[in-house]
Amino acid sequence: MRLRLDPWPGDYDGALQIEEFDQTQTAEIDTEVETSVWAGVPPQDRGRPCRIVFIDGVRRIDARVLGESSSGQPVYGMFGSLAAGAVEVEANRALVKQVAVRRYLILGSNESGDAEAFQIGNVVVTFESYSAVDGAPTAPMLALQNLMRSEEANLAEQMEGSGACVFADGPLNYFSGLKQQTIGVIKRLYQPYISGPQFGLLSQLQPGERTPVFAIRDGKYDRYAWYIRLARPRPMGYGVAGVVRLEVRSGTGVENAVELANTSAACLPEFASDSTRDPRSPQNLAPIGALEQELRRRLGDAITIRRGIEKRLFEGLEA
Amino acid sequence: MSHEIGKVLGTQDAQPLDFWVAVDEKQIVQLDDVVLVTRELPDGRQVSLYGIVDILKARHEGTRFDSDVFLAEQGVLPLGRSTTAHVTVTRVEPEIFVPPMPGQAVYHAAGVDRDQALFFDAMERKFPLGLSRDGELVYGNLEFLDGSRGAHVNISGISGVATKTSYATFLLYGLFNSGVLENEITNTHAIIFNVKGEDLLFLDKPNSRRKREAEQAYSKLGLKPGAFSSVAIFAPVKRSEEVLLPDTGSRQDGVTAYCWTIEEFCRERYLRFLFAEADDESSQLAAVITGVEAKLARDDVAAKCQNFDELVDYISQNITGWVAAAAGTVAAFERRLRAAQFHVGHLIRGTVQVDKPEARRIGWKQKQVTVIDIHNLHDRAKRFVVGVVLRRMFEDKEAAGTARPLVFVVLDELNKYAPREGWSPIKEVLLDISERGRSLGVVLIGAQQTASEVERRVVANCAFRIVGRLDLAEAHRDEYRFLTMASRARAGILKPGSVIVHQPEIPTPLLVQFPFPTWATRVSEVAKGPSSDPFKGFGN
Repeated sequence: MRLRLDPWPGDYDGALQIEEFDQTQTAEIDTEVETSVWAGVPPQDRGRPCRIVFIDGVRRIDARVLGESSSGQPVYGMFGSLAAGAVEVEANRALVKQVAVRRYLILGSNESGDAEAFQIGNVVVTFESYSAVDGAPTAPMLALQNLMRSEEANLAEQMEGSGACVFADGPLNYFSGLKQQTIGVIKRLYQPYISGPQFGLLSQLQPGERTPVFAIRDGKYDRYAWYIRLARPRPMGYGVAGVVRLEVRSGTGVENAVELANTSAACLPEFASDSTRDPRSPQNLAPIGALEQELRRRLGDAITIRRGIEKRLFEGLEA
Repeated sequence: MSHEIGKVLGTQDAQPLDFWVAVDEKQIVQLDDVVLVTRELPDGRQVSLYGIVDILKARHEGTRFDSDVFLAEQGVLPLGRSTTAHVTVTRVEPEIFVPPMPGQAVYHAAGVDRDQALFFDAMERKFPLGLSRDGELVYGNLEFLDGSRGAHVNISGISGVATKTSYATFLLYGLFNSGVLENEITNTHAIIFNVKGEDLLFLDKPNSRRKREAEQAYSKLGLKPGAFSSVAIFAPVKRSEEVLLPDTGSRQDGVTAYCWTIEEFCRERYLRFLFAEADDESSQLAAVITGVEAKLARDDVAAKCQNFDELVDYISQNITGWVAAAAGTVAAFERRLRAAQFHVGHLIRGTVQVDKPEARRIGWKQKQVTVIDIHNLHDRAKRFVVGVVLRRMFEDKEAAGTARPLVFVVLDELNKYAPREGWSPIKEVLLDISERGRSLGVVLIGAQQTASEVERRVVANCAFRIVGRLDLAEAHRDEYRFLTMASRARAGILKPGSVIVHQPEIPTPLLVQFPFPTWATRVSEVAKGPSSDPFKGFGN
């Protein structure tokens, strides 16, 4: 057996998380919506859209907390912060815009606390109250993740309304409207959606080349999707390294989806990161990487905030 | 008035004596800007920190790689840009040394704030040093020039960029015309040695080519653009001419030819100034010189010699009888005397040749400014003239025994007269002026290309240290410790008309600009007045 390298560092889960091909699909897949020939589509020579927006979000657990329900059951909770923002690329200027920071005190088991506001430095930091239905220890974390995704979705809708070509991080399950043209960029592949032989095409894609557009119909979030190679892998890298899946909601129509696929193939490789700049290169796009860094910065210093929370809880004891 | 330019940043340490400012992107901040930040202490007291911007930096933020700039310019990578300014604190009022706090607003100081920052508010008597980069006035404290708290000016700078003597004359013009000397002005004098070219021979002539900007600059400095009003010009007598004519090329009228009579030379014991080279240091030789001087002072035959050659012969014939010294020492003395005879001889004339000896003497009290031209003379003769003039002046002042009125002495090429190594009679005079001149009202405005070649004590006694453009290797020597790293680098690129001034009260050297002279610096700039027509009056 010949072994190939997964270029992402060990701190991250690998980019390829597919367990097996040809498992029973929960969704109906149609690979012939664009063309009946399953072959690589070379990039068209077209310029960048005049405004491109990349959306991303970050989240952080500031402190986990535990409470006790009236019935004596443990209640899992957390102080968490999230930030979502956009990078707007216009001509040759890329700028970070529209950064929103939110902080929550999330309690599980359908419990809800009061919003907490306290002074840290010269800023009053407010953690809004949020209640998760589930009582599992992981529930607050999932809730925070959902809150972040919603925040990203809001931002994407807002940016798309201004006429930009919007790339959002991750799948589109949180986007309320159906006709949106926002493109979801999925870095880590959990499901192949297409059959094993068809998936084999991915290894042969050249940078900028894409698969034909295919439809994913699960009755809930119907989408059009395509795979695209952002950059050539290193010689010892595995074949699918550097490939991402993009998707748009099916409401946009197949013609529009193909148009967006061509646009993405023409412009995305330019934004691919390289291995010296980003450990998750090339999938973690350069503007997204910079945005994440900026968003983390906007979350504020983790230790300072944690100290603030500790102080607050300690004062709660004295009161 | 003062407006906000940015905030104290917190990513680098802010200290009581220096701190960094993040500059608002809409503001323009340049080197030498004067800034101010006020901090309120927990007890309610307000501390104002004043300072000067001495380093400015701009950089990309949110990036680690130098090549990210390309990605940013292609619109791939969003990067921030920041401008930061380093401030060296010049003054803390009241003197509570606390650091400014990150986030506090920093203001560009103007008007009263600027005067506070640069101590101008505390200067009771101040004279113009020039204009700052942003066109504001920069003053010097007269108390550090006139001897009350300090004295003397030292100017360094490479030659050929018209800085050293130009600035020295500009300073004099400011002192004489700004009114700072008040009623002492009538008796205050300046002695300027013209060592190069003839550009100081026209100080009394308005510059016909002066530009409007220069006039505006003078008005801003509170000075009336024009020429020095009271100037006497002395030039050495022409060699090999019986008639005593000044040895100058571009100007003859109003120039007095100077020389000394043999009788005066003997009586006043000027012989030593013929041996004024630093390598003449030898106690035996010094003893011979003193011995010969003593004999000459009382010798009627010597005083009656027809010319200097005769005197030299007379000395040679009699020296063995006058002083007891080894033959070698006597030979060394004679050798040097003969060398001086050729270069200096024409300045020392037989008493009968000079009809009015007083008229040939350099009378520095006749006019406010006395220019003594020595540029055509051999180095030996230059030293002789400088030595004799300075000693006479200093003896006069010593006899008067008061610090007022002041005498300013402008001397370029100080390294020739007070070199770091060796001993010479002129160096002694200059050291005397540097060390005791303060109490006798003698202010030395010395200049040289390189301060490292000048006697340490002469430079160290100067309250005002000024540099024009410097050779960069020179700028890193110890003599320029008063320059900050930033100003040291800038000394290498200073333009003509810009100098860096350090004065005792202000801990940071300031860059000042001085306007082009409104007096002529060459014959072609002399304004042709109607009276200059030699045929006027012949018309009818």
